[in-house]
Amino acid sequence: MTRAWIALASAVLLWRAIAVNALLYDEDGRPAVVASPRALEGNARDADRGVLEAILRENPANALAYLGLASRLQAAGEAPRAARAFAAAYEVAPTDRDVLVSVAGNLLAAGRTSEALPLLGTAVENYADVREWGFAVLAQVLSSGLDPKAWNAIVERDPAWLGDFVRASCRKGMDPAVLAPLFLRRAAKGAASREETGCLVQRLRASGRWDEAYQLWLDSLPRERLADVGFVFNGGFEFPASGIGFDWIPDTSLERDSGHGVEFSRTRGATGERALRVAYTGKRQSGVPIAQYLSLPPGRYSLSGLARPERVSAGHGARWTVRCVGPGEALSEPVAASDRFVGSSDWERFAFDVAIAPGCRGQLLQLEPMASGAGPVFLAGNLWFDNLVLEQYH
Amino acid sequence: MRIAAALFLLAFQCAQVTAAAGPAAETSAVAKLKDVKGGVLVSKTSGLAAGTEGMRLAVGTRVITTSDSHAQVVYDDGCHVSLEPNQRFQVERGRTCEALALLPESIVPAPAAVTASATGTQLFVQDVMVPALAAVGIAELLRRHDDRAVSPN
Repeated sequence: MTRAWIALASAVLLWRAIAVNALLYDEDGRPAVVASPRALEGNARDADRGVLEAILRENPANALAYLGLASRLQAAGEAPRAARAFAAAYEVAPTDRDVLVSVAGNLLAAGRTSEALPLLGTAVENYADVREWGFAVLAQVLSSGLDPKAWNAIVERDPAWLGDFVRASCRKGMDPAVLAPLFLRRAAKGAASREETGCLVQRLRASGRWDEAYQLWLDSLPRERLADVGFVFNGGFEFPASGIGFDWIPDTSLERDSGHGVEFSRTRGATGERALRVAYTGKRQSGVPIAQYLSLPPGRYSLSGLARPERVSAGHGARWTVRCVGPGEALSEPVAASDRFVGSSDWERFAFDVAIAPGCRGQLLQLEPMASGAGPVFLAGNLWFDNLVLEQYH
Repeated sequence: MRIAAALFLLAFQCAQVTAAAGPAAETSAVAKLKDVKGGVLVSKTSGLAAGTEGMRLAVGTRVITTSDSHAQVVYDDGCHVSLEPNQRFQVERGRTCEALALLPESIVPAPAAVTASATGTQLFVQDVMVPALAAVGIAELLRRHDDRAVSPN
């Protein structure tokens, strides 16, 4: 008799296990309880609820069962009970991926974004595969301008994902003005990354918002670099080029592709410890070796510096030019240019005038190879530069 | 005698140069920087440089504050102009103190999240777009997930 009872009890337990697993997982063993709409259809819905409630009576800490129940309650139009089930799931498993995603989604659907934001934050912080979706939702919430307190709390905590969020959102084309407050708080803490700064400044520049671009870049600089910003930043080439914002942007392509190499290196006779060296390989030139965006107010200036050409041949040399930068960062014809640097000489001072018209809000200073016509340009030799300074005439 | 005459002439010329430069500098500098905290920049002929406590400011000089910094421009007549983080101010004269105090302008956009009130667009985003995006994303995320941490027991 006892054996019969044991066999019956075993059969019931086995049936329960099969029923529960069939409900919670699909045929591939993946969880299906929340995701599959089919599981919620028709009469099965009520039966499912019964099973789930039974599971929870046995194990009140089963977060997946709470999620399943919440989903079914929601589908049945029982929103308050569904909300309680979602809350219970979060209470028992506050760092579980599916719990965070489901509960945050429920809160968002209910318009309770301020409560959803911290959960979304935890989800994107801990689960890389949630980031694309989570960042898209966070971007929508941030763009809406609602829930500033929740955002302020996130920014104050400055979680590790915030920089990635700023960078990813910027790259996806989000208005940099919306991201700027987040960036500035991070910049003030010295936490803003090079990629964040580069993307935001570039997008502001491309949309013609030069003052804001320049200010954001200034905000990203360490305090000691603010001592002498100048119209030309790091004109003495004493610091490594960051390649972003309004710093020097050296060509980083391979020498064999570009026909030139760039370095800030020690040399004789230069002011300070380092100078710019551009080595032309004798091959066809592609692009410019080095450039810097400027944000000069309209007026007249003098650009001066020191130059030392070394056996510069196989072409017509190179020259510094200043061009206006238009919408979409389109370049104008040069508004100013130096004499060309060719042949060999010791360090010699050079200077040329630069006139910036009121419509020329942003400019690009770059070292361009001189072309004799429309054909390819070849250059060989070294060009050294140091102490580039732009001064405004009064 | 010739040497003495040359020295006299040189001294006279130096005095003339000093007299010419001195008053010009004095008249163009109309204010000074005070309570400088953080990264405060001042425009010079070669571009922006760090502003320091007590630095004299000529008409036309631009003063720029960076994030987490502030400063005051104190005019010689006693007028104070306060600059908050990320603002700029161009030293002017010929305005009332009240007008000058209104001149500092923000260089970065005001945080939309702080200043905005709920507009129709915002409500549309909150009530329609975000929930829709959340629903689509959640279904996809849960469908993809095959590495559960929670046991059904």
